[in-house]
Amino acid sequence: MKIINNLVASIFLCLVLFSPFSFAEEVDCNASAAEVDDQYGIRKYLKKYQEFCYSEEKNNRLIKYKLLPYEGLNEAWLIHARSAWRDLAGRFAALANDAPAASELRTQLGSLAKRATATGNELAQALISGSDLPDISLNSAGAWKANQDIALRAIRDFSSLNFGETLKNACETAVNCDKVLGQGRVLVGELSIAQFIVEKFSGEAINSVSEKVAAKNRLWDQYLYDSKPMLPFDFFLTDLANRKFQESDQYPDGFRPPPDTQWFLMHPAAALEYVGDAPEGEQFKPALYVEVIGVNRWREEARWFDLPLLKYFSGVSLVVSYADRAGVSDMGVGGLFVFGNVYSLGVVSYDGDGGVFLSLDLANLWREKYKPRYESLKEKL
Amino acid sequence: MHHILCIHGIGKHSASWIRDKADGEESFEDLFKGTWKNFSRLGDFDDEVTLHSIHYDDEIDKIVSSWEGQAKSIKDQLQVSPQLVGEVEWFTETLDEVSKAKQEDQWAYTHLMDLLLFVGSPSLQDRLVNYVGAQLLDIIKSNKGSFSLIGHSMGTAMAHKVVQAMYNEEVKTASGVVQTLRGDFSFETVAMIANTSYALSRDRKDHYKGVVKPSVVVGAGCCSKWFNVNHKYDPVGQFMPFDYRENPDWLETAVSANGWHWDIELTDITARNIHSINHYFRDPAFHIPFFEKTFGVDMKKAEKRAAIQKFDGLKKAFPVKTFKASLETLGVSKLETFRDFYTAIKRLRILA
Repeated sequence: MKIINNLVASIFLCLVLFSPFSFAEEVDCNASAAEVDDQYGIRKYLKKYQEFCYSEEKNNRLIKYKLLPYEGLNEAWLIHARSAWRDLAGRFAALANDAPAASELRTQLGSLAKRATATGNELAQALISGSDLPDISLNSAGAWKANQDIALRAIRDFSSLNFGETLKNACETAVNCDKVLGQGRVLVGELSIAQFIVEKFSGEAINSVSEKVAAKNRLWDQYLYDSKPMLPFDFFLTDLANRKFQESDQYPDGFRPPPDTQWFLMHPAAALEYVGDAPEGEQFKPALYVEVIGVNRWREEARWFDLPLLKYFSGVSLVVSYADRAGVSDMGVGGLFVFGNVYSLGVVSYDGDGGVFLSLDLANLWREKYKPRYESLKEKL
Repeated sequence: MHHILCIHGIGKHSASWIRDKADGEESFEDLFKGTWKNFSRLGDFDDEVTLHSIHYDDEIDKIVSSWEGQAKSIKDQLQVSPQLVGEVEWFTETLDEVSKAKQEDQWAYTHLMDLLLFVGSPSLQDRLVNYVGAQLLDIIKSNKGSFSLIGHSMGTAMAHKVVQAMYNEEVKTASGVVQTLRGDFSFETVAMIANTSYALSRDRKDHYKGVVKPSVVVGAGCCSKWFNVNHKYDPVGQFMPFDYRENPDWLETAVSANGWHWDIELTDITARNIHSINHYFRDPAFHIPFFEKTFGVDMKKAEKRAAIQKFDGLKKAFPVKTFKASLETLGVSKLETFRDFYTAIKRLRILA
């Protein structure tokens, strides 16, 4: 039984691998106009033809142009691309001549030939001058990538070209729609070569923008979750102080990084406080402090002082503190000094009784990291 | 492959929201696939389309969680002194209420918090726009093929801002030439469903002047095809509606001539939650032109007729008369303030 099962499985596998019948969706590269119309419509058929039927030919052509193997936008590759554009211009022109005289298709293909010539010239100019291509360039996906309607956009002196509509209309009026379909196949094949070239240029731009935005995203992660924690009032004051309500939300300058300076407004936090003048047993106590107003520079590169040790000083605030402590006034006023976004040292006065407090993060740092070293050093001494 | 990037709207959404069943209904992805199968010329869905969930609700949750964490930390650290805890109650009690609303999935949290953070704080808006933009660009960078964008409700405002930022983001080449995406990337279709982009804009005077529009000119617009879809009885898209006619230059003649601009007002009702993206997409008055234009296909007339007939069946099954009467009393077009709008939304939710 096991042998029979294995045999059946092997036969099935052979059928899958070698059968003329397809199990995945493929396109008939030689479909007639009638078949195309029934199954896809001409635009979708030609897009699928370009993807499935022309890939091997495209690969061969790119190797012949020396555009493959691709090793980056080096000078040699650019020179080969320039030659490829010259050849493409000739091919589009030949295709135009093959189209019916005085037809829309002929006009559009002629325009495409001129676009290819201009594209090659732009690249040649860039090679000669040694400069990069401009932002809106003929050598870009914008100029050569056809949309789902096989339409190309207008750029500089070249108007938009809607080949999908033109081919569809040509098919409806032609005696022989199969000939129009054949021209469509050649057109999308040539366009795939053009698109390969421009995608190398546009791919670089897309990668660069994506990386820049990802870097800004990481800055935002740092601002929100790895700097001095902020609360709603803090965001409000920060927005006010940085004039963010006046900024356009049409984002005319692209994505915005977080502001360099955080502002704090009525921000509560807990601390461990020492008041020397307090009665015995009341000196060390937890305290609540509220930063009435404060400021913090969260990025090390944008700190107040670019000096050793002082570069850790990140912020300062005016604080009101509250301590539940016998023998001392309940409320104190003073200042808070922040180091490295997280560690805070406060100095307050409770009606003349001075107090010093550490934020719990600093207290914890002392307890976990530095106190053992201090105790060990004490013992050695 | 055609990649469709879907940005969710207001309310609770997971990072894979297109696969989540909303209001007990099928997921958006299942609905999309189901309607796709009605049209043979579109081909096999799995070979042709990938839907991507673009999300930001998780980031809003994370920001609020950090506030909750700070409140809890203060209470824990001061617990030895009830007096001190009492001094800071003005802060901790507010955060406790937010936590409760969040845990119970209360509408006020899932909807109002989204709106407050996105619209109320410019820097938090900048963060969310950056967060979504990074997702979009990562997908575009990592995939080949065509790309389309669907925004729903507050997702349309997000989409508008993100696309503006994307095309205005400058990088410099080694020789100092400034580059943007304007010449390098374009969406096939942008579909704005229940469009709030104008209502949720601070800088309204420039709203119709940017790149967020269809265009046949390289660098002038973000896409070839544009769908603006609202529903007559959905107050969300009717309040300060997006109206491209505010700027005569917004719609290019060639775009209009190609049949690439669609401004659709749906009127049929097949479910209580008329605001949901599913309710919009289920209507063939939207999904038929959307499929045809986005995928470059002329669908078979018989299949289109069958889809419309099927939809008519759904319409008949829904008790629309009384529901419509309730909706008409909302008088959305007469609303002038956000407060009135918010009240109308709450009443709609009660009806739904």
